[in-house]
Amino acid sequence: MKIRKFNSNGIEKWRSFYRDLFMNIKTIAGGKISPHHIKEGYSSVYKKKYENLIKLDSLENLSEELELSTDFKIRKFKNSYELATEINKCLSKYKFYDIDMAEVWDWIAMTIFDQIFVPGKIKGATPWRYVTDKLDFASSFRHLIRGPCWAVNQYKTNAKIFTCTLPYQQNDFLEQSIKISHIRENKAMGEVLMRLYYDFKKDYSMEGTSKYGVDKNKPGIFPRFRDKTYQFSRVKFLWGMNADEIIEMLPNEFDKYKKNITI
Amino acid sequence: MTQVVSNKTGRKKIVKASGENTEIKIIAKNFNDYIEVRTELKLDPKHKFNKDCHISIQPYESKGFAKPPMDMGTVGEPSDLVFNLDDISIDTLLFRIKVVDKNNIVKGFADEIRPDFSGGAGTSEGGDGSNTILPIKEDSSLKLPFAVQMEPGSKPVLLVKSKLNLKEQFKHDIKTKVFIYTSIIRQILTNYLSDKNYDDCTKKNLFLNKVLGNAGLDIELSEIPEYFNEDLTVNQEAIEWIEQTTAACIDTPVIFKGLKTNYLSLFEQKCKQQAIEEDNEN
Repeated sequence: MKIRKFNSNGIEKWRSFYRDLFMNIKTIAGGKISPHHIKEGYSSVYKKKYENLIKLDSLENLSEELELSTDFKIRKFKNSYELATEINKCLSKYKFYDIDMAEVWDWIAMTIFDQIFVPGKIKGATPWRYVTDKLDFASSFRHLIRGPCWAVNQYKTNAKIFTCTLPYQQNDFLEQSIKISHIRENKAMGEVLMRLYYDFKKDYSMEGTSKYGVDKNKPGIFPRFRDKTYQFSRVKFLWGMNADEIIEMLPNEFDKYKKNITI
Repeated sequence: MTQVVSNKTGRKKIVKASGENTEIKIIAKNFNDYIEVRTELKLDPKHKFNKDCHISIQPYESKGFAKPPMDMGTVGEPSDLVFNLDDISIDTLLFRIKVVDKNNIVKGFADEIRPDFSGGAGTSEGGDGSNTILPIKEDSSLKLPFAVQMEPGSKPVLLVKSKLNLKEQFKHDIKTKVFIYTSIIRQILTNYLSDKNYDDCTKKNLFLNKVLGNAGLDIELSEIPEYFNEDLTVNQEAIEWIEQTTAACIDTPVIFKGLKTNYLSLFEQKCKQQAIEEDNEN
């Protein structure tokens, strides 16, 4: 099956379906949403509505095929990296920014909804995970299809630190990085973060390195990296530097993580 | 907390303000689905940058989009650029320029450079040229019905969610107007008084003077209370000043639908009228 994009009717129907589902979950929760509320909220009524939407898509043309797409082999994806790599491969005949549209990402979200919306396992159900809002810059990266596809397109294999999580999980490194333009837009930063904070043996980001936990002064972790590179960017032209040069600049507190690259 | 950045590497500030000494001018034209940008660079030789220093320019928004820097040649052989940008609002578009030596050390810079749209561009309503105290602009990205758009160096703009007819309602419905004005003027004054980033903002004094004028308050800007006490707690006097000034500003006489009145009186009158109408229906 080729990847498709919603038409205006299709995207409205998808948005409406998910808005209704989210409001139902919110109503059941009556406050903070828990995995239990999501499970209860995605009742048989909504499962039926979802099935109908899939049927409608095939019967009433809610979408159109992307001509240059290759065959999208849907399987059980191990993590968001594998998922995004498969999608980007299918769409590789397009320039990323030509297909970077809600109609494409949301159609894929609908098509593999069972892998990115897993009641009982997901901790949140905020619409931005499933419905692309390109007008909201930060939220558009939180979409469980667009975010990983953007990261893989931007950082290639170094995107793993942003996409090593399960397809239904939001990745905290991605969440922390998208807000900072000197990290988000600089491709060398993907490599730097991989080399500092990625556990290559576990094929997963190092625990406790993306943000402060109980220890609000933990040295050398990502929030410190963000602050130090911001400070450096006032003096040095980071865009002209490669990953080695950026890592070399980091002060002693990062030594523990710099050693990671020698393993 | 304000970050103090020292200048041990001797970075020079490149003049971006328009005038005889302007070193970088960015001219933008707004088309239907893109913005055409043209640069005019004239670095002052007094900086004594090395001829082999590289120059780059980067378009960005303060909280969002950023493009990688684009090469403008070297100080010895600079080259102006013409390029197009899409997926960005002309109201939030900014540029930064950097002059960098061969060791990637920044030798000269300017940021928060606003493009000049005077070369035939369609600035959006609510641009800096407007004389109104608070320009209104529709924005489809708002999550809430209205918000204030504020940045140092720019006039505050009232944003209202588009496609809800709020702009019209704001103009013609006194209750909507008073509710929104109360919230927004209070917020702008709070931001101006509390945020150090606005200390050198030229638009801040313009706004404060306009508000004080509308409020009929005969005080100097220097008499406005400090927002924070020395122990960094909020100064109650400042909070009270903001409340009083917001109320006085809204209570200013205006011509509304041909009648001389003031918004607060009209608002109170409308509220009471509605209560009577509801009682009668009951």
